[in-house]
Amino acid sequence: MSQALRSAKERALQIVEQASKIRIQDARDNLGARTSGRQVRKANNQMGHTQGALERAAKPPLGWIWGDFFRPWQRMFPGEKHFNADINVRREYIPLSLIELTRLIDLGWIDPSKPIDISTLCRTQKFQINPNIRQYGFDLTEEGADSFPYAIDIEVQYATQSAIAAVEKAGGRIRTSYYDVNALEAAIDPKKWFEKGNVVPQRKAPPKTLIGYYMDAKNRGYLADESDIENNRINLANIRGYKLPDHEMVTEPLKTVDQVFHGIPAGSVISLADKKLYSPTNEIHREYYSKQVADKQYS
Amino acid sequence: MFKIGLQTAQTSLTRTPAVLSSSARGIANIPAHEYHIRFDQQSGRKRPAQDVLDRFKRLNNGMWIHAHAGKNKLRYMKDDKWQKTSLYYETCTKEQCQMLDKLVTPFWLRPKHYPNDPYQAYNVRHGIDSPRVDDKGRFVRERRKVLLDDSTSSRYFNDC
Repeated sequence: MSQALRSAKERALQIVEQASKIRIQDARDNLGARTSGRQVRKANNQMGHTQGALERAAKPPLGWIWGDFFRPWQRMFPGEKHFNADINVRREYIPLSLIELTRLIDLGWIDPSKPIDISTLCRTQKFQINPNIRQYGFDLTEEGADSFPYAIDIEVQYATQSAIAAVEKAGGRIRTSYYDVNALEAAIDPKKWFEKGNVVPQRKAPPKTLIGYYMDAKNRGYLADESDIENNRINLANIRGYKLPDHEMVTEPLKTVDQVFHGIPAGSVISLADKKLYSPTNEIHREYYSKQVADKQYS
Repeated sequence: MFKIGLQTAQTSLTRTPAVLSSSARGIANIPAHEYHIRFDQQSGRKRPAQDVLDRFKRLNNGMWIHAHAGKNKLRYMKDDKWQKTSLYYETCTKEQCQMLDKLVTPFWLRPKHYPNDPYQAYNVRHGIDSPRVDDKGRFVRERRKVLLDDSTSSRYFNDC
């Protein structure tokens, strides 16, 4: 009989027939009926790949998105000199628009009756200048030039013609002047500079590429003749068609060519604790700092 | 003398140029220094990928531009339309911009202001739906104005 019943189904049915009682356990698989894959030792288990193969496999170069590994897309384009080639000689300026300047004065961050320069602007803690990454001061831009109300005495490092016109139309005085890295560092945070006990530096002459800009009366450069600047001021008013106020806003006499702070000559040391200014007594030092012709400095 | 000169000219014409023959490289793998972001040995700072800095420029709004591929190749045999359009710069896609941002250092990701910048007009982009600020509330594409609220800023500035 058992010979005749060959199929597993039939055998199973026979078991069920013969059983006195069927329980859920009887529906279990036989031992070894289902087997999972053979477990090999972890060390031998390469899963078709070895670590060495992974290390030696060709991996895409940096920035690869599609295409040939040996010619990734970012290397398919020609280089452009205009893009980043002169980044190490380019000078960056912090944009300061006239509307922002108006707001700073409106809200009392800046006093318009005093001269405005880098130190004044940085004291508001609204701007960060880092001379180490070739930031060279402020660029006065023309946003808000149509309605600039304050007569101010401002010194920036760069200014557009519209901004110059707006300041002068309101009766202000504007000068563009160059600060070298050392002078800029002193001007950004005078307190830190004085507390270190550093000598108030001389402002160095601008680099060769900027001399032209700062000697141009059109830009109100600090190296230009005052009479030239006055002529250009009148000229700009005629060109732009506005009437100049009777007198220019003059808060303090202009800084000398090598002066960093108003009222503090180059070469002096400041004691904030004593509120005293110490001038150099050594004849050689005094002569050096009173030359008014700053050392030539490139970039 | 003349004959010899002619012959050398002919052989140099028939020989395949070095540029074409070097397009298939004989080595099996990418050199290891090319698939890692490099860090400076002395200071431990990230080094930007020079390939990217040579070929691409990041505008202040976060978009990267590059020149036309093959711009300088065989210009004389290409048509007038191509002569004109090959001088244009192309913008990268969002994914490409994200990739390039990773390949350079934070210095290059910072918006920079240069007076008389020829790219000044392209540093702003209008009509974009994506958010103006990132997760920390900083502007992504525009400069943060000092003491200016949004409506006043939009009256005077045209950069968002």
